[in-house]
Amino acid sequence: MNTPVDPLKDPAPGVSRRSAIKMLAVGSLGAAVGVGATALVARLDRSQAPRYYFFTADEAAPLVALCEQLIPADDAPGATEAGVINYIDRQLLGPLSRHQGRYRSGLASLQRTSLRLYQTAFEKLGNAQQTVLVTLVEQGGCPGELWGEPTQKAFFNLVLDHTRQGFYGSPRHGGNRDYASYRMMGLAYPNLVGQNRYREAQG
Amino acid sequence: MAKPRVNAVVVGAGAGGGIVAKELAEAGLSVVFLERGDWPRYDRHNDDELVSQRTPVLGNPYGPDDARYRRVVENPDGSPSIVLPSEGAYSNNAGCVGGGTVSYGAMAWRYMPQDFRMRSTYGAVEGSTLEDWPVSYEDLEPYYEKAEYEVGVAGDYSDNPFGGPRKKPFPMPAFPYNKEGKRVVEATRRMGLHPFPIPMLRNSVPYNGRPACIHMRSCVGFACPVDAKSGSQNTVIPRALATGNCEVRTGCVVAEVRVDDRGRARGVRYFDSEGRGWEQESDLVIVSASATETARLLLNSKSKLFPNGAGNTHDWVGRNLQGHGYVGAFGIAEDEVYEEAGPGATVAFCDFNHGNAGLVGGGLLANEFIALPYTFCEVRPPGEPRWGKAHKDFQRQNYKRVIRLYGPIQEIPNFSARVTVDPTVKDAWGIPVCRLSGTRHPYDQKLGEFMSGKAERVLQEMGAIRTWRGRLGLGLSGGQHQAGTCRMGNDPTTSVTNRYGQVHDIDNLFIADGSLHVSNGGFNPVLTIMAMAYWVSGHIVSGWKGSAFR
Amino acid sequence: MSPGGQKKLALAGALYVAGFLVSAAVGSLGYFHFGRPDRTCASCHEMTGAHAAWSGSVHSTLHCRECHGGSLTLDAHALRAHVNRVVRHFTRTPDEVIRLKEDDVLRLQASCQRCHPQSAADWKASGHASTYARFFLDETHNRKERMAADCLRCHGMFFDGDIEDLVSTVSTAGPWSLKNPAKAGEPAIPCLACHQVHAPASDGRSALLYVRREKASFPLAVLPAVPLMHGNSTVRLSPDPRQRLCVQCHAPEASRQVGTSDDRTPIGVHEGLSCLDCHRGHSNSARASCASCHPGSSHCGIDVEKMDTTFLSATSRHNVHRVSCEDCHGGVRPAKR
Repeated sequence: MNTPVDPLKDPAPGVSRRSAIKMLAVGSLGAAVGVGATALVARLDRSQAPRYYFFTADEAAPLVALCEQLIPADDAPGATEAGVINYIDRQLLGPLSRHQGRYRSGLASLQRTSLRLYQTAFEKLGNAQQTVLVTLVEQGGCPGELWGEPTQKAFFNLVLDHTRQGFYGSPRHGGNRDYASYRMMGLAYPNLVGQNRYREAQG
Repeated sequence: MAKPRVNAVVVGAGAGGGIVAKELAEAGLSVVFLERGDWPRYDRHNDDELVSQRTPVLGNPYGPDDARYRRVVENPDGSPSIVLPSEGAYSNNAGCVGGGTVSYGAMAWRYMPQDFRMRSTYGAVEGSTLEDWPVSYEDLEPYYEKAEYEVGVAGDYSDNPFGGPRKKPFPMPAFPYNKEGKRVVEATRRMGLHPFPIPMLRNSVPYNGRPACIHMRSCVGFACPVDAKSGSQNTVIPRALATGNCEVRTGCVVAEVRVDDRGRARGVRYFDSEGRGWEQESDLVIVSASATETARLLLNSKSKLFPNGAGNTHDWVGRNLQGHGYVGAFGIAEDEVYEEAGPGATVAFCDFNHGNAGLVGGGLLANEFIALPYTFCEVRPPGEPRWGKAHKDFQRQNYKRVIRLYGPIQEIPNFSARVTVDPTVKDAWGIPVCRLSGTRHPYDQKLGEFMSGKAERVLQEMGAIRTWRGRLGLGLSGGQHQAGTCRMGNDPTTSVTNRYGQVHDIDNLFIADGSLHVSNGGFNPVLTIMAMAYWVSGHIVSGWKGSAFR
Repeated sequence: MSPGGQKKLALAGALYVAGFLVSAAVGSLGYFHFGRPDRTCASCHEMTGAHAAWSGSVHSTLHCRECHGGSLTLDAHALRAHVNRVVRHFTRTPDEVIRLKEDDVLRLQASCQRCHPQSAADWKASGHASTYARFFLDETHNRKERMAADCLRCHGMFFDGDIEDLVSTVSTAGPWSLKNPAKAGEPAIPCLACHQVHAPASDGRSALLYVRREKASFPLAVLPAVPLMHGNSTVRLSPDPRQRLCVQCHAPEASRQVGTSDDRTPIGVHEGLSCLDCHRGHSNSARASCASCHPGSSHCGIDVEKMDTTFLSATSRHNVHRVSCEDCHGGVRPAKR
């Protein structure tokens, strides 16, 4: 690689004082432009951390509420605090990508149903009303014309299964923050694993 | 492209193939061992319940993968659905060196003498192809023993009056009962039953250079972090390699067995891990790819003399697909019975495997392996809420109190439960995939009812404050215990191979896996697959010495 | 203009352009090197988690570059890592969770040592500073017990690979060598095994456990307090949460009987003490430990350091972790004086 020319330290032979001053000016300008542009670009690209990679904010809101209905917080964390939605969001862009369409369509149907029955978005309903609506969805009791593919029962079962996965699976997939569900069930993680034979092997 | 000719090609490095490769290599044959998967590595997936071979909701840790494999399942209305290996209906076993033995629960059962004589014992069953095996328990006894010693089994049959006669004790002492197991023992003894420790392909003491079990909670469905579980990948396959006569080629998918115009297998055509196609010529071909994949390979191996696939002259390849209906009962104990020592299953009894008045066959009952939290979500009495606070409360109140007494029932073979190859759907290598169709025999449900009733009785005797029974659906059986699709028999018109696993009409083509099973016993099948592999290998080696295959 | 003049002008122009570009580059890199993290690297979303943790940590007074290197730090390894990360950001293939490779973990040790020289020196003299060679090339051990993936749970928890990638033969037959000989001298239990630089300062405890299976550090607050048994009775455990960290590797068998496998949880007269009551944090030395309680709370009024225990001699039959009154009084407890 060529050594970059530093005009301050190493003026080319025969370059006059005036040239050196010009060089200095150009250099300073360059540095200023560099800093300024970078700061500007950094500011422009200052992407607000998107909370979700797959879901839009409008989809995430009812899903968060639905998952929290399925596994609500009490003295132990619920689905939201355990990061269940984070799990589903990540897996829908990975191994569970075949379910993307079902989520898009099912969440829209859920929202339509809530608006039709209560004139309110699902996530804005009170806890009791949410519970009633989720029970209806589970049993297939909502107006059928509001649901296409997946059916309300199928959608419920899908979300329930994924909520359980996110709540009880390993945190490495985005849910079960700090193994909260294991602690709730009295299961040690990381578990103590001894090796039976160490001392004998030493001898 | 062609590879240098060898004496034998073995397809599939699971329970059966590992033993065949080792026996042949030790007898001096040059062996190429083709395995579609890779060597298993614990570190890649370790204790992750969602990437476990039992709950592969995010993928199978030990193969096959969702990206390149698929199958077609025929729905009850005849319409086809494409399924992925991570979905239950795929009926997956595994795809790696060691196959299912890497991640199994490792119960090491010998079938009982009656299991080989089902037709003579019980007569014909309507709508079933129930038949006697062309080999007997006595034929297999020395090979069971060899499997127990070479692969490694811990057990003790002194309290089991129902096992067939055995010449030698187990090579390792049995594992002790856990807290739950002790209670099962007390209750069953009071009831006049005969509990005993489950024989396990798992080291209770250091054995054959591998350490003793450290009792991981995450055992069944996972590899062992200290290699205390005996599988073919850490026993017979290393021994095969140590002879210098055997080469394992991983990532190799076999497309067909080449059969020439004279009706002899010439070798196989396969794709290597880079997707390049190869011809591997050999004197012998042994297929041990599991009941579904072995049938698929034979059906995909069309030739002039056998246009419907190798061994399929009489349309028996792929028929009689069986697995095990798992059935039993659940009970909630008054206090905590959970003990932090995996894998959890310690005690079994065989009082109901045979001799059940008015019934054909039966099955063992055992306390179950530890269910991890996600799996436990499905352990619920009928009518119990599935979500909300009630779900959480059940999880925390009952996780350590639920006892499951479960077992595999001997299924009644059904000719229409079958593997075919799909006419249109292909895998990533362009090979037609398995198409699964049919249902289990309705008789299985009757037997299931009986067994779950017996299990529930024991749980009540144990003082469970609440009990409920599991139920068996009619859905197609298969999965990890898949068997029966290349039945062995003495009549070439009603079987695929002879009593030595040699395909009728193709003298140098053998099968050595659960496909051979005429019926699948009321037991986990792996030790029988291993014993059969020794049996088949013994026949090959003695024939080889007489130059029968050259 | 003469050809020479034109040439000279072109040269001068090129020089100015080059000077401008170089200065701009230096300016830009300088901005990244010295700028506030949330205005530079941590403005990308994949960095925000690590940044948020750091902001609340005891190390929040240190700039990222002090440990990770900055854009002007002359460190090929760090620069390559930074460039990779930028590329992955703009090609939309960022890591879901940013993790350090073992290389990074070992490089960080030097930064730790700059500010914590005493702790580093203590650690260096302790068993926890043992190297890969010490753990994996011990012939006596290897001959008796086969290596396994699980070794890496406590020894080499950051190792990037499987046990088969580390050691030439995973069998009791040997011969054994490290596949990468450079690993021989590297510590297998580095600072980050029990510390996390970005850990919250709030509870004043800097210890965490790195869990290889999860590739994550677990704070003391979530480490399980696993009950241990001595025969049929439950052992009284110290409430000190740091104890839970030690016992993860110095662990009992699945029976959870105290003293099995490598468990050293004290029973007998020392029941209820924390490891850290006697062992110093980094050196693990217990040399000066007796005096903190004895003779004040001694029942015997004698010099416990001179008693026949493993404190005095490693070969003593009386393990100081389990020593009880009966060890000296032959099964008969003397009446209290």
